[in-house]
Amino acid sequence: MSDATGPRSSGADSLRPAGTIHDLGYKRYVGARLASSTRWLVVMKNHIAHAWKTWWRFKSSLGLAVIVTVIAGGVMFLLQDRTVKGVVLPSGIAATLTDGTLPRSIQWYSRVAFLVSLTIGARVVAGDVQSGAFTFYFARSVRPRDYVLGKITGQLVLVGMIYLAGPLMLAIARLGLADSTDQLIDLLPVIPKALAVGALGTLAFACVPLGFSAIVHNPRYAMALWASYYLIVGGMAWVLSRVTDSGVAALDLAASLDRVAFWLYDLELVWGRAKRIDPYVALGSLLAHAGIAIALVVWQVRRAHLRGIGGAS
Amino acid sequence: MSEPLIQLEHLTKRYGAITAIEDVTAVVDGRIIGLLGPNGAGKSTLLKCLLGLIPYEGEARVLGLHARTHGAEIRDRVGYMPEQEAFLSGMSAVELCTYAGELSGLPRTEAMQRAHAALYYAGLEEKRYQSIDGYSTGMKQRVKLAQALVHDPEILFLDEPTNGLDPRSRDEMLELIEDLPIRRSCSIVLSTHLLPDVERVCDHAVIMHHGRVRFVGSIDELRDTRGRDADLFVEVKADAARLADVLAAAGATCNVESPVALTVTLPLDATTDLVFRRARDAGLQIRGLGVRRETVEAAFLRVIGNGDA
Amino acid sequence: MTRTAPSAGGVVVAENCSKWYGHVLGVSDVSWRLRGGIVGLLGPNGAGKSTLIKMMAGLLRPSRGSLAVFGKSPFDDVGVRRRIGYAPEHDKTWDELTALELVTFMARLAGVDDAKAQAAAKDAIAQMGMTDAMHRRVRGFSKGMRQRTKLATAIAHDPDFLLFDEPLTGVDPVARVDIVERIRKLAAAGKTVVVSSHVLYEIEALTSEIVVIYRGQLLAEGNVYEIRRLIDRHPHRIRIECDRPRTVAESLAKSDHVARIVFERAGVLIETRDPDRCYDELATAVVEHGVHVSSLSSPDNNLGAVFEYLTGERR
Repeated sequence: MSDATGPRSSGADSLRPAGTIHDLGYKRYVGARLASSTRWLVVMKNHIAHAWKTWWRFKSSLGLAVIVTVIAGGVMFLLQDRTVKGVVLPSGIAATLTDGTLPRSIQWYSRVAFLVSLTIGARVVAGDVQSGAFTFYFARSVRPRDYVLGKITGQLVLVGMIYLAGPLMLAIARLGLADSTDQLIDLLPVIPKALAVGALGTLAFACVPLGFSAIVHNPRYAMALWASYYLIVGGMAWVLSRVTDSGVAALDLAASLDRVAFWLYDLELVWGRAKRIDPYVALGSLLAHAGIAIALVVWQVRRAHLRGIGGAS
Repeated sequence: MSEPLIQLEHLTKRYGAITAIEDVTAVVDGRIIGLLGPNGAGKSTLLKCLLGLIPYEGEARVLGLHARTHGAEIRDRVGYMPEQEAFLSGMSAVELCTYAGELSGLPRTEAMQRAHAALYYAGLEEKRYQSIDGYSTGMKQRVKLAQALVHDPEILFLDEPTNGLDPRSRDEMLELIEDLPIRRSCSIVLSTHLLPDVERVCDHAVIMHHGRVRFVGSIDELRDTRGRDADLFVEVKADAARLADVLAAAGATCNVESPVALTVTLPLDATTDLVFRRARDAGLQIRGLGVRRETVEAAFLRVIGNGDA
Repeated sequence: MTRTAPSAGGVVVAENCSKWYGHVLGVSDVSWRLRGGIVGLLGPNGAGKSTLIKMMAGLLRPSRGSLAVFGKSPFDDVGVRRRIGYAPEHDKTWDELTALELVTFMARLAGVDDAKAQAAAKDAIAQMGMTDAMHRRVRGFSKGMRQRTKLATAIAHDPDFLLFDEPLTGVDPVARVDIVERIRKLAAAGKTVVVSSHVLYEIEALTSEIVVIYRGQLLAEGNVYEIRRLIDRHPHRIRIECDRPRTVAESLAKSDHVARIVFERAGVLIETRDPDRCYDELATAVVEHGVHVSSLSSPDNNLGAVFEYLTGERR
């Protein structure tokens, strides 16, 4: 593979260009190494890129979220003055669809986020334990906290693309449908409310499945366990709540999110699951779930951190 | 490289009542160093200490850095090829190695280039874009080696690298291991139970037993050099017993090991010439001859055995 | 699927035995007779070793041809299966049992009377040197102990025919010497043992009878020294370190079987097409010219080389 490096040929006295053989041998890396405090970013980016790769892991759910947003937005726009059965302003007057759709859409985002939690969330840590990924990570300059931070932020970003972006879009749409500038200014708080609800939903659906992923060593069992908790335990909690008239229903994450959404948007549900829960209990439940889940992830990563390094002996 | 690779001073590691490593002081240096010892000898604990992953008493330095305080930096300069599976599912070899490089602090493009180079080196050219989930054992071993090389380590720790490989692949892996210090100027610490592998590639060895280091030094030092020029091993085409008789009649001491092999101790003033002459006279064909040297395996068992007292 | 009547004479008799899994070839047209002793089963990954072993263990039935153990088909005949002990390559087992419980349980599965099973298990465990650890749970075992437990499981019901698939993987050198010795004792007690391994020097330590499976077919069988002689027909490198390498080279340069002569630091390397003649001529040269030889060796003269030649050159 030769390369002309002789003097540029220019007219009569041009020499025949000399040949060169390039040394393709091994070169040591003498560049800088990035600080180890940035490792978590690498983990996060990898997590997101990995989720993005196939259509079923994340992109399909994102598509569903877009559909939900479009439909909800469409409803808000086209059926502006119709009222929603079952949603009332604190004074008791039925709310319009435009207002009511905001909190009502939350349950749909919850469903899509639940899908994502199945395809990615509940498998994360369990899958890594099973495939020996911890040996891979921790024999390098990656610390357990880098892994935990990277995975959690990665999952937050993914779920946030559904749960933060969606309600935010709808809130902006709501503003866009304001009758007058005055009303628009009145309605401005809808944006931070949407962000707050979105943040809570993102937190819940990103962290809690990760927690389940951390306590079971098999990704499929982790998925099943999370699904049973979310659907069955949650559903039974709500039934119990009706019977005992307590706030046990807060265990149902979907119901808690619903409750917080309605409370933030200053609307009331006339009937339905969310009604029975005190909003502060719901809020506390969500935060507690997320906190416990993160703690479980940290525990499992610390425990398995040295596994596989040094081999069987 | 003026610093020795590994320096240990009164290194001790206790897990409650169990002492995994006991007061080890040693300097380990060399090109390819075998780390040997029975199960439970403390090798994996030693590795964890050297990588700065667990606390310990005493001093442990790798490439001049204290493992206690500079663990992360050591791990950036050291590559580890684990014995067990250490993959992330759903990735191709290239993706895994690139990720590995990035996790060791390399910028992305650099990591990608080196990932490809490492995979070429490890012999995984064609399959490197396929998902690791579908790889055979041999290919998985190669990926494990490649991911340990990506970040240009100065030392490579290999844990049973020939595990599960058929003889041809084992051969290729050992050739790679021999080539690494030359081609990539890195030193190797090879932890294995297969002593013939050690015999083939290593120039130094560290032997551990019950948490102590029983031997540190070159392979030559390990072998019992009491063999003199008169102690020979001889291989024949057939009928070793008859050769033994013939040589014994000439004053040599012989011991038949198999139908085609025997050990011979020549009488005083005799040379190997004697063996050839007598064999020819008896119509026997010599196929191998040489001074008896202790195998690494025998030396190892001797060192371990002595230490048990 | 015709099944010919298995003929007598031999612990294992395979006649034109083939096994396919759909399109995937396991073994193809293998005819072999195993009379006894310890035999090493060699072959690259995917060559058909495991298939052959599983057929001998009675876990698979041949697609064509026949494979008989003690004259019966092990797949069909429970009685003959009780005379077979099989230790597979993997060691996934019930980790929460103790070694004694595990071996006892497996012995009962293999047909030992419930009343006698524990005693048989203890005996097998003792034979494998695990008595000290028999009341500990398998979960905490090192690789070497797992292997011993596995082997104890295979011998607990006192079978006459033993199949060990990679019994020494991951075993440390001290334990290896011990286990090899115990396997030898089993063979000395009259049992027939087939050991499959990738690690050629393990096989060398155990036996000189080998069987090589390659691409599903039986490539070579018999005494490894005999097989080695048979490959004499192919180019061999012979290295001689001596005080007068040029004299030796001169003498041999005249021979037509010599393909190449390379001078090395301490001697000369001869590449020959007829090693048998070459060794003789070397000896003659040494004796006639009074050359002092310090070393004579061939990198092509061991089991590894035999294996490499057998499986390497065929394409």
